[in-house]
Amino acid sequence: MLRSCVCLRSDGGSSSGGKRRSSSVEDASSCRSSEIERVGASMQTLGPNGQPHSAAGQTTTRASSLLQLFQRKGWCKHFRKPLRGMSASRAEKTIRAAILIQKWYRRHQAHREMKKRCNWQIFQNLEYASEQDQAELYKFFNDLIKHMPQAAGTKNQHHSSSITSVLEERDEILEEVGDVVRTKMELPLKKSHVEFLIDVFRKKRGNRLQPQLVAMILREAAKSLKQMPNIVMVSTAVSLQVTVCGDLHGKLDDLLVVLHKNGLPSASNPYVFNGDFVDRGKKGLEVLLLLLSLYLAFPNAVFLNRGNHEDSIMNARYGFIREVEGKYPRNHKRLLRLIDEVYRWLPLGSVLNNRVLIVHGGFSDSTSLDLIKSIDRGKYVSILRPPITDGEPLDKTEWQQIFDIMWSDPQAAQGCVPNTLRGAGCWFGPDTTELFLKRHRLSYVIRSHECKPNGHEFMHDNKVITIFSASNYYAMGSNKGAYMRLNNQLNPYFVQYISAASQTKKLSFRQRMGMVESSALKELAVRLREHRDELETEFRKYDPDDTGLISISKWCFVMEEITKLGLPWRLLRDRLAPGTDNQKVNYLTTLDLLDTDVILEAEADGTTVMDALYANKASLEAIFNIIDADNSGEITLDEFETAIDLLVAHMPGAYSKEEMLEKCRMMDLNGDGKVDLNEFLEAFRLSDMHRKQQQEADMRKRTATRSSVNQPHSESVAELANAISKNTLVIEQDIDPTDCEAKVIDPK
Amino acid sequence: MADVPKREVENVEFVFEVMGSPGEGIDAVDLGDALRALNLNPTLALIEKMGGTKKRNEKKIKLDEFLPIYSQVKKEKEQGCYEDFIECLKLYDKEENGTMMLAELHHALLALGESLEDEQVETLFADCMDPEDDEGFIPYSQFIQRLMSDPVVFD
Repeated sequence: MLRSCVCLRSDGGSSSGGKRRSSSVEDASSCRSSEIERVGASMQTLGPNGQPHSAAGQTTTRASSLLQLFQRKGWCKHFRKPLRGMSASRAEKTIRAAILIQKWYRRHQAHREMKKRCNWQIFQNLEYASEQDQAELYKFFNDLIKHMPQAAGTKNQHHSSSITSVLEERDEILEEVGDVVRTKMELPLKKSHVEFLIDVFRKKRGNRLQPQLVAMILREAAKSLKQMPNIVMVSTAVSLQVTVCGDLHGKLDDLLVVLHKNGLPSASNPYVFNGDFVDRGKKGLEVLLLLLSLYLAFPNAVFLNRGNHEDSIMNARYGFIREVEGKYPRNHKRLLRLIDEVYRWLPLGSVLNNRVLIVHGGFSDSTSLDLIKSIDRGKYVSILRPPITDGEPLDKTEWQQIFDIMWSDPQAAQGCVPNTLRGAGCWFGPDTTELFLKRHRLSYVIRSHECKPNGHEFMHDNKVITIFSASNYYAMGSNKGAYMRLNNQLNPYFVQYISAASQTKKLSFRQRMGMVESSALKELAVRLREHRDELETEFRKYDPDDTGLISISKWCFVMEEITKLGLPWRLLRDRLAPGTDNQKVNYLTTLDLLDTDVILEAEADGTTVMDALYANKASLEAIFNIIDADNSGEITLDEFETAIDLLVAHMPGAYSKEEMLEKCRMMDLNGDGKVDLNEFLEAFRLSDMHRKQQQEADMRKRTATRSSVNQPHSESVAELANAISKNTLVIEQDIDPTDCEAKVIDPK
Repeated sequence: MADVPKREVENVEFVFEVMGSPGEGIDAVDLGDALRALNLNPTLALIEKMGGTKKRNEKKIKLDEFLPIYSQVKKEKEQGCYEDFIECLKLYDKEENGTMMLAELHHALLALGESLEDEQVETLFADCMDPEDDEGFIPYSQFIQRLMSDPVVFD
């Protein structure tokens, strides 16, 4: 079973194979305990003359030497009763007792660490698997373009080709219902404005800025960012130092911890923020607005790089769009258009002192900074969709270059290979790094994009540093965040932290572990739901007598075969098939778990890439425009059919080619075999509606079957579902940046 | 090849995948933790005897080298069961009422045997110990129960 696990495919992988580096152990807390043992062991092995003697000495000798040690160290007063005048055997027993407890403690620790790693692996694999879907969209477009003979880029039909008009428009901003914070805030922004914003944002939900103010900040920032080059040169000549932050993902509490510990930006305290400001966390809009305000208030002290989540297609899937819709129900469309403007003008990277490159993802063996510097980055409103070219031919190489720096990851092995885990970009090895640095005369690269247990990680002989600033990213207690401080020689040290520390400290490790595990299980279960019927079919195949039981190996096999998630299924067995014994697995409990309310609710919360595609008019327009190569405003059904074939190939799902074509034919009202844009969009909308209705019908059917046979959830399943639901509650309070646990890590 | 049952070999493979690097195996400094993750309970002395190192990057242990170590350590008798613990802690139970002074246990763990660090003892007590009563005594049987019921990785 484990052989099919992604991690073990170090030899290059099979067809669906993905390479995955082993998690770095250097920073793992388990090795800390080994380090500490070393200190402890050295203490006890001092002989009568203070000479070290072997740890495996006789107990009596050890007892007497320890007694001498105690006397020397003056601990006797605590041990007056037990050890003084004690017989040798009693002393021996005492030490034996201590050793026993210590042994068990260390075992306890090791188990905790392994559990932690297991949960981590679940989260990471799930995250990357879902990102693969998004990347599919990019690949689909690429294929589509390849197939269409004179494919042009998308034309700017509904946005006017001049970008400034979006920014100049004084669209009506509507008043929002409910409380808003009104204030007189005028440009240029100053430090006092920033402090005010921090104070407003850190209050728990319900406290939002006037939408006019939000629009103003977004508009001004976009205008200003437009003036920046693609790669921004940063110098520490004046400040003699610089701070670099990685992914924040809507975690305002972490951003405030950083600003609290490291100070607001200024000419002597510049910052670089390396992308992924939004999605996943609940305060993405506040993080974005605060960063943009810092940028406006402290020009030349704040540098923002674009990340792969600064992209409306990602935002549709990972929660940011929903966040904006929820906070500004009457103005979200207008605000999201302004946010798109900010995204397209965010610089793609920075270079410190001409020596260190900072980009969000990484690079490939074909990355050329010169080429990247020459791109008109404003064309890439989303990097998952083709760029806007106003009818000129599309440069796929250029598009790929941008993709590579946003999506790539370093790997331990040599070489540069497509990143099959993410679905796009590449995995670059130490040799790729060396060549890249040499070619561009750089010393090392700082990047983000991957969550690390300790907030940072060194790779490739310290030439690639990952910095990740969102603590508790997967769940409370999952990881620390960190920021980097570089001096004038660009030597780094790190400050590692957890925000809302008191909340995590209140919980025992067991409880924290429970929360991480519950979140992981919930996400995994939602993911499994997508395959629920397939799983049932496969399970039943191996259970011809309909006993409800199959062997453990078969269960693991089916799980991996259907989901291809590369997870340690054997370890997850007692969670995903609760109440099962040691020999066989009751797979019905697995299916039952997926049907519990807590999982159904979680599923309803999420969006699939199909939702994102269908709902995203701009993407559909892009598809249309590509197909409509001659720019006539209409496409033939034949051309449409080719596009559908490609769509199905890239995104198989609840999607029927026949249905789509049927809809399209229906839309062709004048029967001339052609479809214009509106009919095209309508076909997708109807198809989407139908797909959702189908999903709901399936669900109702399943609930009906279960209740008709009068089968409530089994006790163990209900218990587990209950535990998951309780454990994944989020505590909301005002943010207190002083409530953090921080530590300085000096790599020397 | 050591006589390790197939199920257990799979568990070892998982541990290697998590703790080691492909092709190289695990670092010898992690030998102890690897064995513990697999439900064994060696002392530091035994780990060192079996080839564990104290510093990182000194030595690597591949899977086929690990399996005989695993077999050997598995044979070791003194795993320690609940009764062993109780018998040992009775030494500290002067009143013979199932309680002992927290401070004495604290210092024993710090000073005796294969001693722990302050921070480790703090964590241990936070996880497994009831708070001490007014006179500084704690009931030790529950402590032992909790210590032994740690989250098992493999069954």
